[in-house]
Amino acid sequence: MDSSRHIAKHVINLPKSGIRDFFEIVSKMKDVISLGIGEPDFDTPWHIREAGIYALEKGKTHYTSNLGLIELRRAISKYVEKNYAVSYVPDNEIIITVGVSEALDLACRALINPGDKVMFHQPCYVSYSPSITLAHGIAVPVPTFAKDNFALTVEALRAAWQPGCKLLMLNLPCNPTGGTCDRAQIEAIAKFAAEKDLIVLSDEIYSELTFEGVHTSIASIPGMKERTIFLHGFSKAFAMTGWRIGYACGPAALIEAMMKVHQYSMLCASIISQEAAIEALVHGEDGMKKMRDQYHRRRDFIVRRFNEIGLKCHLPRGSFYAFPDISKTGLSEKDFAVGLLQTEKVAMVPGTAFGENGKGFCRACFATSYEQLVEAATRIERHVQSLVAKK
Amino acid sequence: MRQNQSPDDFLNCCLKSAAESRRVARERLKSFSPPALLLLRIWDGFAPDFCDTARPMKPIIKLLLEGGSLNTAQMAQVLALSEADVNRQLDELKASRVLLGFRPVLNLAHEDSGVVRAVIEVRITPERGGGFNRLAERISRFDEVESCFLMSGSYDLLVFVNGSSLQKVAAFVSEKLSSIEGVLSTATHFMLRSYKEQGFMLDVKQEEAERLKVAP
Repeated sequence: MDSSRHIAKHVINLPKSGIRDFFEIVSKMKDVISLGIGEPDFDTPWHIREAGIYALEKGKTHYTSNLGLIELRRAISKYVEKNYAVSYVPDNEIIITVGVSEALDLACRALINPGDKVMFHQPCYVSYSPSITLAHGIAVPVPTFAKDNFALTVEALRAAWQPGCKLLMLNLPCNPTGGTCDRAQIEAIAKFAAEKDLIVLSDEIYSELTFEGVHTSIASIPGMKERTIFLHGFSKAFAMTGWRIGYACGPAALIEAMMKVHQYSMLCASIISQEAAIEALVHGEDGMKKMRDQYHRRRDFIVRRFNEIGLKCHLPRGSFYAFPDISKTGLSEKDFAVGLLQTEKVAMVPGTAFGENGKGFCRACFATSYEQLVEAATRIERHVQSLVAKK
Repeated sequence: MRQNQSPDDFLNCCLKSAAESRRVARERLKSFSPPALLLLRIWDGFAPDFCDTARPMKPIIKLLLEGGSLNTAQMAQVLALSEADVNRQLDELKASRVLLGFRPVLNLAHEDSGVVRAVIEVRITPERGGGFNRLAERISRFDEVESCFLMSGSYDLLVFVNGSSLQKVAAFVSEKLSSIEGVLSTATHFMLRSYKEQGFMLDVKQEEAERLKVAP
């Protein structure tokens, strides 16, 4: 029996992630220096892990409220108010989710009617377009460009906008480009969103890892809290990817709608992760800043080296990704990445894994040790020189 | 120490039990060198603000702390300097006695090295003008002394001592350390087992957490 005929059309038509293809190649190779991992190289700080262990010891092994532990929601409310200048009521404006990915999925499923259009900037995180499709929406990508340091511009938004657009997804700082927007740009995007009556889903998972200037949340712009769902989590800033813990803050009616989907699907996030997340918020700031400072110095190094090598690379203002332009090698991003892997055993992810607008670029995650970064840069240089010599 | 708390308030809180203790503690704080004061503040959780306003740490020092086993050629790449410049900066750090040397961190538990280690709490008499410094330096000069710290609390110096046997450490304490004029008392604790040294866990295999080679 051909069981594939039972698969829903909107699922069967989803393209396979470009990252998955690349993962298949890399996973079969040994001694690879990988700049392809989208997570911190640090393990979760011990005091946070210890809080998880303590939760288990105390018998905290049960369900929590669908919205999540009230202590965690209170801690999030304080943290968001202090760092993002926008306040949310813990009782009904915050929901704890299984990572930001679930929060994004909940928002899509709670807000998108079949045929609604959703704008998002591209290159972007791999799940944005599929999340829209799985919620029966229509994805409307908005390009960002290296000349703008991959900041999202209102001009690009206006050019991409179509009647029927209901949502705008933001991910600033952005995976994979490290691009972000300053306050003036955020204000302009906010004005556009209000003008077009868009609800904004703002994924700010990399916001603590902003190296220059101050991160501005669009939710903090006057008039925007009412039309923004602020999405955040612990994976990147607190090195907690495996804990799968995130949250969404927004108007009570929207959080309630998301909660309906959450309670019938996930029920609640892991209580152990929630307990650890409280510890991260209450006592984790110093550790987080230390990690950020290390990423900052590694960024300066790898971006300088890419430019020395001749792969033009803008300075990512946030995240832990560099996004060098590899087009001068004359190869496609995929051929370049595969060639680099096979000849020098260095893994970078082809930019098109993050959408068509990643053409000509590769993503290099610099959340790895200095030793690995220095060696990777040397190998990439050797590879580029050999390619240029062949041309 | 709470943030914005003056040194006097700190003293009052910590040492309010006796006026004499306050006098001793103030004298002790005066005798702290600036790096020691910085350390004190780091322990108090006061470091970030303090460090931000203090002289920023040199990039080469940060790299020494973070860079693990980078050689000087690799350090030069990271710092965008020539290798000669890196060597010159390292020499300057040595000359200014910021960089005192490199030593391996070893776990000798399985080497039958016969080394006995002890921690000794020492109470000493402060001296006019010099506080605790002269005696602390005198004690530190013994080969047996691995480290020596001036402490707040019920004793003055915490001294880490190495010896090839229990008898030798005991002899050092009774014959050399406690006989120094100005040493009021000692309390010796022999170390039974080490669990962590210089940031390295001992006898716990540092397993590389399994990370995917490529992840979104």
